[in-house]
Amino acid sequence: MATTHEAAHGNHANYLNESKGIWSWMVTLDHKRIGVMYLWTTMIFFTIAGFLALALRLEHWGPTQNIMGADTYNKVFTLHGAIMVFMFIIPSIPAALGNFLLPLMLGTKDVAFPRLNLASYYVFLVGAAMTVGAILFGNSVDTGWTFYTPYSIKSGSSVVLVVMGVFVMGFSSIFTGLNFIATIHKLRAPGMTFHRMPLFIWATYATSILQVLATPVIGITMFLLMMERVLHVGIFDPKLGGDPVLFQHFFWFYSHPAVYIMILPGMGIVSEIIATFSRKPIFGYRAIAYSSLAIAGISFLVWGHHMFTSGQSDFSNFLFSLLTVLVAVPTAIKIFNWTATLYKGSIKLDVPMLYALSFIFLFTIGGLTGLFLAALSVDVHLHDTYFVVAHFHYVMMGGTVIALLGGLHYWWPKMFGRMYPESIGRVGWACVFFGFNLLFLPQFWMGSHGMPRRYYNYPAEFTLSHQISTVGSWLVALGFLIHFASLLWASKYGKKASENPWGAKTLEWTVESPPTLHNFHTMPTVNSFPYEYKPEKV
Amino acid sequence: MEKPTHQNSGHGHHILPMKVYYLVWIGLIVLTVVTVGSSYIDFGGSMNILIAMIIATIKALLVILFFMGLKYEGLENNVTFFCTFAFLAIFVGLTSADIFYRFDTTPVKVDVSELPASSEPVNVTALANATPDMISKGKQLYAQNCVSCHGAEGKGDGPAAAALNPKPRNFVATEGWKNGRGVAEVFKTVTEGIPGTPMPPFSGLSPDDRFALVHFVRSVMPNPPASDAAALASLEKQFSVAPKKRLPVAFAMKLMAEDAKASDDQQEKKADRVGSATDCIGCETR
Amino acid sequence: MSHHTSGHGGHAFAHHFESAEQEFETSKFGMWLFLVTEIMLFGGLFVAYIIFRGMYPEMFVEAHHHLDKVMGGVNTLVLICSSLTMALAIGMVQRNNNKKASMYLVATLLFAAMFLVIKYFEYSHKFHDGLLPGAHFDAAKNGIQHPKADLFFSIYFLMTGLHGVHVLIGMGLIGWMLKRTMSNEFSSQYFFPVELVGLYWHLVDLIWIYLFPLLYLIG
Repeated sequence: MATTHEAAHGNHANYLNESKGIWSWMVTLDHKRIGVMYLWTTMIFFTIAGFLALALRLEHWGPTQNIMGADTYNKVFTLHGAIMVFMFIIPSIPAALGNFLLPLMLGTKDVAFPRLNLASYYVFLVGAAMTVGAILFGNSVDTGWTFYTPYSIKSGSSVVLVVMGVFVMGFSSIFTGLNFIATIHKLRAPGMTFHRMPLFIWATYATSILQVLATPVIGITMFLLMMERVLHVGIFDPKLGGDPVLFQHFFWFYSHPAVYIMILPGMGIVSEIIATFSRKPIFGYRAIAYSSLAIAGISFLVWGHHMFTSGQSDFSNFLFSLLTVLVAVPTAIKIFNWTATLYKGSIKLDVPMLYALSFIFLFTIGGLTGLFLAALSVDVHLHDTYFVVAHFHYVMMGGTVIALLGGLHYWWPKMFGRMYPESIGRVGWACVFFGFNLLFLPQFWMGSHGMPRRYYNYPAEFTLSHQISTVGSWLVALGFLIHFASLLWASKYGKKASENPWGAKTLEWTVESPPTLHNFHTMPTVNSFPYEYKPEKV
Repeated sequence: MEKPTHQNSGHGHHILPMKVYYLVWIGLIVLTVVTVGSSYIDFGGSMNILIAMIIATIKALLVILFFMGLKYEGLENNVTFFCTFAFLAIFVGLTSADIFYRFDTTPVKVDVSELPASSEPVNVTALANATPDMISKGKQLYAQNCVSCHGAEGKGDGPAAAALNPKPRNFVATEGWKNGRGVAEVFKTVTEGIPGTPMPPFSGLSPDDRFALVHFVRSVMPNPPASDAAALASLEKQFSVAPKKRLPVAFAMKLMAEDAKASDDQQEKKADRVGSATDCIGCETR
Repeated sequence: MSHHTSGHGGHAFAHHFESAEQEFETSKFGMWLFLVTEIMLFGGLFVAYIIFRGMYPEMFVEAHHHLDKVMGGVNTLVLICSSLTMALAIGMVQRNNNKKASMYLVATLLFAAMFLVIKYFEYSHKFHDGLLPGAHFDAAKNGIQHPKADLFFSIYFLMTGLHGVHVLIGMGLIGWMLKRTMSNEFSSQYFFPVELVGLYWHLVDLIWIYLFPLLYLIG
C-alpha cells in the first residue's frame, strides 16, 4: 500500500515525504497529515481574525470615529468573534494537535475512522467557505457572534449564510469528537489502560464528549434560526408568538460547553509540558484526569449565567449562579496539582514551559474574574462591559491560545523533525505575554468603571486606557509574528531534532521525528504510568 | 479498563432467533392500538399524556433492547446511549426553570409607569407637611436615637453632651444652624450628619422616619421657618430617581411584537422604542 | 485505505485494526455515538415542544384536533413494520441468506416509501387548510381561535419535516445496503454495515414512536 522511499536529502521516510504532491495531501487518510492540514487552516483563520482584532483596537484609539464607520465596526467585531470561536479555537487544538497526537500517544496506527476524519476536514472547509462567502459576496454579518434573536431575525446582513456555515462546521466538530472517543475506547495499545493514558488524552476525551453531546444542539439552534429567517416559523420571534429568550437557552446549552471545548485541550497540553519540564511525575494524575471529566459534566449545568440580565426567572438566576461556582472546584484542582508538580522539580524554562507557566498565571486571573461574573449581584453591574471582554480573553487567549503556542513549540520537533530557535522563541514569548497583559488588564479597569462592550464611541475619560490596550495589541501581534516566522523557518532550516529532544515519557517520543506513515515500526506495549521521571542528578 | 474485551461468547456476534423479532413486532402493534384507543378516553388532568408517554417509552425500550440489540451489548454502548437522556433532561429541566418561573407571566398593561417597582416610592410632597401623627412618631424616634445628646427638651443638654465638642445643637436657639431650620435643611442634617462634629448620619432610618424626626424637632423650635420651596423641590428631585422597573419578559416581547407590527404597517422604523421607553437591560453575551 | 485480507479469520478489515472483531466493535460503538448526536439534535425540538406546550396547553389541545389521528396511527404501524423487516434483513445476513435479506430490505424500502406517501397526503391537507408554520398560518381557512396556534404547526412541521429528511436519508442508506447485499458482499463473517444502517433506521422509528403521541394524541 504505502510505497515508502528514501527522500533525496537523506531523511528517513516519514509521513511528510512518503508520498508527494498536493493531491497526496488532499486524499490522505493519515491522521498526522490531516492534523497538519487543520493546523494550517486554523492558523489562517486565526491570522484573519487577529487582523480584525487589530483593526478594532485601532478604531478605539480615540473616543469617536477613527478608521471605520459604525456599521463596519459592528461587522468587524462580529466576524472577529465568529471566526475566532467557530473557525479557530474550537477546531485548533483538538483537530490539529489532537489529530496529530492522539494515535501516537495511544500507540495505534490511526484514529478509528480515518475516512470520517478526512470528511470532517472537508466539511469544516465547506462551512468555513460559507462564512467567508458571506463576507466576500454577501452583506457580512453584524449580530455579534451569538446571533441573538430577535435582532438576528431582522438584521439586513447575510445571517443565513453565516449561520449555515456554523451549522455545517458543527458536523465537522461532531465527527472529530466521535472519532476520538471511539479511538480512545477501542484502539489503545496493549497495556494502555485508561489510567495509563497521558493527560492530554484525558483532556481530549472530555472535549470529545462535549463535542458529541453539545454540538448537535447548536446544529438544531442554527437550523431553527435559518428557518426563522427563511420560513418565519416564529419559534424565537415574539411577533409570531415565540420566545427570543428561548434562543439564548438553546444557544448557550451548546456554547457554554463549547467554552470548555476550547479550554480543556489547553489544560491537557499544560499537563504534559509541566510534567516534562519539571522532570517529575505529575502530581495528582487521577485528580487532573477526572477533573477534566468533571468540568465537562458541570459545563452542562451552568449555561444560564450568560442570561442573568435577559429577563430569565429569578429562580433560574439563583440556580445557575450557584451551579456556576461549582466549576471553580475541578478547575482549582488542576491549578493546585500543576503547582504541586512544580514543587522541587528540576524546572527548565524553555519556551513550552514559559507558556505553560503563563497559562497558569493568566488562566487563574481569567478563572477568578469568572467567579465575579458568576455572582448574581456583581454580574448585574458588570454584564456586557469590558470586564466581561477582559475575563473571557484571559481565558480564551490567556488560556487556549497560550497553551496552543506552548504545545506548538513542544511538539514542533515531532511534527516537522526540527528544533525551533530557543532564544528567538523566548523573545516572542516576552512580547506575547507582556503585550497580552497590557492589552487586557486595562479592560478590567474600564469594565468595572462602566465601559460597555461593543460600543463604537466611548466617553473621553477612557481614552488613555483604550490607547494602552491598543499598544498592547501591537506588542502581541509582534510576538505572534516572531513565533510564526521562527517556527516556519525552523520547519525547514532548524536544527534536526532527535526522537526525544525533551526527554519526555509519553509514547509519541518513542518514534522518529517526524514519525513514519504508520507511526510505530513494532506496535508498542505499555507497562507503566506515562510520567515516570527519575529525580535528575545534576 | 484493559484492552477492549468481547462480551459475546464464541464468534462474537449475538444472533437472535427470528421469533424474537416477530414477538417484539406484535408487542409494538398492540401497544400502538392501545395508545390510540386510550386517547379517546379522558382520564382527566394530565393523566392522558402520562399514559401516552409510558406506552411510548415501553415501545421505545422494545425497539432499543431487541431490534437495536442493546440488551446484548456491553456496558460501553449502554452507558453511552442511556446517558444521553440525562443530558436531555438537564436541557429540559434548566430551561423550564426559567420559562415556567418567570416572576410575572400574566399580561401587563402597556403603560410603563404602572410596572411594579422594586421598592416603594417616596412621596416627598406629602411627607414634607407635618401632621400630629408624624410628630408623635417623631417623638418616639427622638427618644430612641437622639435624647442622649440633645436632651429631653431638645436643649442640647443630654447626659452625653458633657463629653462632646462641639456641643450638640440646642433646638430652642434660633442662631448658628449649620444647614438651616427648614424641613429640607433639617432633613439633610438628619440624613447626612454634620461632618467634623459628633453628629452622625441617620441614613439607616427610612425616609418616612427621618421626616417624622424632622417634624418633631421643628415642633420644639420657636417660630420654625416655613419650608423653602426650592430646597424642597431639590429634595423631591433626589428621590425622583425612580427605583428600577422590573420588566417582565412577556411584556418586553409584547412591546417587540407591537413594534414589529407597527413597522410592518407603516413601513417605518421605530427601532428605539423598547430601549427608550423602559429600562430593558440588554442581553448579556459572553 | 482499502480492506485487505489478513490471517485472522479470512475476512477483510482496515489496516489500523488488529482484527475484524475489533473493527466490528469499534464501528458499532461509533454508530451508537452517532445516535447520541441524533438524539441531541431532535432533543432541541423536543425541548421547544415541551416549553411551548407548557406555556400554551389549551392551544395545543385546540390545534392538534386538526391533525389526522388515523393517518398518524397508520404511519406508526408502517414504520414499526419497516423496523421489523430491517431487523429480519440483518438476521438473514447473519445466517448467510443474502437472497432473503435482499427481500426484507426491499420490503423496508417499500414501507418507508409508504410512510412518505401518507405524509405527503397529510401535508397537502394541511397546506389546503392554511395549517402552516409561523407567518404562513391562516386562521381564516381553518377557524382556530387561539392567537398562537401557528406555533403548534411550526413545531409540527419542523419535527415531522426533520424526521422525514431522516427517512429519506435512511432510504438512501438501505438502498446502498440492498445493492451490496445483492452483490453478495456480506456474510455471517462481515455484515456490520447492514447492522449499522439498521441501528440508524430503528432510531428513526424510535423518534416517530414519541412524535406520534406528542403531536397526534394530545388530551
